[in-house]
Amino acid sequence: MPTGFVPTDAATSTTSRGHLSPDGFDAAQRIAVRIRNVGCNSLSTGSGFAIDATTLITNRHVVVNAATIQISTYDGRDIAATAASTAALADLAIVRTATALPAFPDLADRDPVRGDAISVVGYPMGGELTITTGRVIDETTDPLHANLGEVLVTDAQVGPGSSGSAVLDSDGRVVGVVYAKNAANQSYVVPVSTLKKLLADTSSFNTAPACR
Amino acid sequence: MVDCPRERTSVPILSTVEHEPSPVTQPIRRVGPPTVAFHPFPAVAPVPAAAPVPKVKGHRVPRFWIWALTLAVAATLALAGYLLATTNAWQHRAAELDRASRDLGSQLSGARADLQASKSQLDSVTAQLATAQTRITQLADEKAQLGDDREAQRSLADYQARATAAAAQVAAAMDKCIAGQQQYIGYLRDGAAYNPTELAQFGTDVAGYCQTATDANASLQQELRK
Repeated sequence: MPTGFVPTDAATSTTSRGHLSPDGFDAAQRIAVRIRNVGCNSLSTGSGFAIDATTLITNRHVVVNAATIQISTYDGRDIAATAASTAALADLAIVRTATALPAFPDLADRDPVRGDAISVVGYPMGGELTITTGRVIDETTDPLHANLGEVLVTDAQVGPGSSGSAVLDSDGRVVGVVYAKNAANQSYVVPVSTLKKLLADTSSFNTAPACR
Repeated sequence: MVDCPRERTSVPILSTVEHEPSPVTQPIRRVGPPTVAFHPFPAVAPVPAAAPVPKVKGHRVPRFWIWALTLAVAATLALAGYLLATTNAWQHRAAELDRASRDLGSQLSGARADLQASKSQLDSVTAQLATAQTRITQLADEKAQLGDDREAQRSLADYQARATAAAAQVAAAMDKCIAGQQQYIGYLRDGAAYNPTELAQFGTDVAGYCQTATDANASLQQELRK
């Protein structure tokens, strides 16, 4: 009398890793950091995101004239900053950290084009971590003349404090860095191609000027 | 005389064996000498005197058929036995399969209930996780706001300390300036009693004190404007 009606090795379905972390937060949330610029007589906040275990990307105007730079992660951990350097040809800056950052994304291979869906993750108004969505609506030269080359325009909602936010594509890869907005609530983005070009050139970043 | 049928073996009442009918059913008739049919055609050769006909012994069935019948009965009984055993085995197997299927059905029912319970629990845990994540985000924001307040207070405290220090310097310099000037005025009232050179030097020193007070005040104003 056969007894093997039920196979002992049941077929297991392959599960996708997905983008969740051990604490359930999405990868896009885990890469974001809040940056506090404590100046000589000022205090301001901005956003940034990790590109490796101890390196952040943000805007130049977020870290200049700082006496100290203080970083906090999506879950409220404080990370000490060891150095900050700024780019001359774009509104970008690099911040090095003393300890490892929670997560870092991949950089996209190409810039997004008009119509592409994007997400912006950052700390508008220095408040809670926020993710907003939108689409690329235009490419233009920088109206602030802070960036060499073309910049992107999106309809994703941003605000003061969103400077330095990561712009992600639908696959969670970085396609740009927010640096400004206009009166029509459109956001300006430094494209990932500019970021990658500057990261590849070590001489393109210099020590960020501190306040006196 | 007809032989009696052989002894039957006992078999279960699942199949019956047709018994051979009693051999004594057919009429008995004498068997006479063969007669020759009359033919009007050329006569056949005269039949020699008939040989004596052997007598047939009663109502006997040929032995071959008895054996054949016996074998048939035996084969039939054997086949019946085999079929009976096979049937029993299949019935037993069917009963076991029925038990196994019921057992599997019971297990399946239990597994479905467990799955439903797990799904419900997963939904609950997912909701709890979302709540926890929201709270973590809020707490991180609250901590960040406290940090901002702390740094703002620290900056303000530093500013006040600097302003206070600057004001204290101004006050000290003013005190020295005022005291010096008052003393200088006293000397000037009785100028003939003092060496003119020394008196002039004292006036220069007092002017220096007052310039220090002026500079300290300028620093204070600059600090206040920060």
